[in-house]
Amino acid sequence: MSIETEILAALREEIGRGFISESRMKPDRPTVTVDRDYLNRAVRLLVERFNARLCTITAVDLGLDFELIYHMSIGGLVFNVKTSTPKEISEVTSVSSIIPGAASAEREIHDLFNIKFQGLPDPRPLIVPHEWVGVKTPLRKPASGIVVEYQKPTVETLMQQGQVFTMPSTVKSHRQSLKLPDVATTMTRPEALKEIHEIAKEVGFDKRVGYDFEKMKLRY
Amino acid sequence: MGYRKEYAMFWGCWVPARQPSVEAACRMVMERFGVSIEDMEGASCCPDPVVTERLQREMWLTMAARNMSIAECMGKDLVTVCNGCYETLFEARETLRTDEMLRGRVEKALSRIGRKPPSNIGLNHIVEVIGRDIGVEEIRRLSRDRLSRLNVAIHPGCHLYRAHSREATGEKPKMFEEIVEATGAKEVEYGIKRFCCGYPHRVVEEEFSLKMMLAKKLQRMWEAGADCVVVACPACNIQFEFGQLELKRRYNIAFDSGLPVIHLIELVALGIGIGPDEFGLKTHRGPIEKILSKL
Repeated sequence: MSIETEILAALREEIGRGFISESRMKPDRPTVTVDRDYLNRAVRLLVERFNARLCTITAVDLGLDFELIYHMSIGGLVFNVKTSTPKEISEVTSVSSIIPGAASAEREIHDLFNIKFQGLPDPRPLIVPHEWVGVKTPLRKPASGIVVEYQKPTVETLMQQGQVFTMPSTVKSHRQSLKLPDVATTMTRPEALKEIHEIAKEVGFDKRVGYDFEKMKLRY
Repeated sequence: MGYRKEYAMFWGCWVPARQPSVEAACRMVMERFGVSIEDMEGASCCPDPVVTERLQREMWLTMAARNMSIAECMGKDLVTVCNGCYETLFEARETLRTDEMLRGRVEKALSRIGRKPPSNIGLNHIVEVIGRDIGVEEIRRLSRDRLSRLNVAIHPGCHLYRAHSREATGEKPKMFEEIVEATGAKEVEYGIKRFCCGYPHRVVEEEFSLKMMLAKKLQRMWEAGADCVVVACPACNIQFEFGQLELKRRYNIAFDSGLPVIHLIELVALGIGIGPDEFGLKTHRGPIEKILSKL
């Protein structure tokens, strides 16, 4: 069994459903994506069982979420652990309790992106002036997704009622006076609308457009 | 009355929520000619062939497949009064027939809600139901030239040209013209019939859509002496009707008191003697006086 296969098997066993996927950033750069709640367990396993060394941490602004990539050197192999946090949360657990040297990378990311590292012992600014704290975050962009402004009402209405137009009260009144039957679409049939939501989840439409089912609106 | 044909009726989004007169006229005309239409329980947006398809083709395709599967479970062919819905469902049906990989993904998504993609669904635009099932001669027989004083500009709409082959692209628009002629209304030639109304462009660049597309078309219709515009698509209807209000408000471009806009099914209703009040012609947001004065 190769070291890579061994690491992947160990991670799957250790974090179970926290293991989201495996991929490759380059042919020789295996990558696992983990739920942020399982990040520490994954990193601890790599350090304690495979003597991993943290090279650095990369933060990427994806528009609606931040992606964090932990580049771990294991023997001759560079193994990446990816996780993400929604911009609304912008928080992950610090790995500095496992790897003390991670603190400087985490402080730098905090300075530039305003991502909080829970448990970071010294969260003072590292590379930006103190007066910038809470005011300026140079690499953090406003939350944005693939739906442009003028399309947002269409997408939100589609997800809220399965149709792209709401029914104004004047039209309701006209329908009554014309003795038209009740509309029998997803607009009035919650079970049918639920089917549309199931489809959206199955094909990943909600994630793609950044729709929040709880708030029933786009995240931006 | 024994029905000559039965259809699963796909109303789409526009008609129930914005144009109740189109729905009322359609129900009355179909009843008059013995064509049974049954509403599709739990249908959704087709979904629209502009926004949703561009955002994620798989979502668009699966929703369209779900709508067609509802009709197939009813054991009926589907009919729609909207060019956009027709375009979406037509394109989706062809994609499901020809793209095995996408069909497999749609099957998987639909299986999650206990449905299957359609296997052999028939799709019809209302123009086909009127022109083919009811027949132009039947419309002519009942119309008795009631609309002979009405001059109409025909706007078929881009998606009415959707067909399986190049040779067939003109069939539905031709049917549209024949139906108009059968109602007794006089078609005016304005030269740019096939020109888009500008509706799809409106969500991208409103000024271009209104001034460079809609206004150009309205100008030619106006100069040709049209009393109203006849469309086969609720989206075109909205563009012509609301677009005129916007042209006047924003750019001070107006064509007298405005050109009325009606759907073909409303013209047929008027032609066969269904009164404008019966199907709610006055619920249009645009002016209708010019039509009423010619009845």
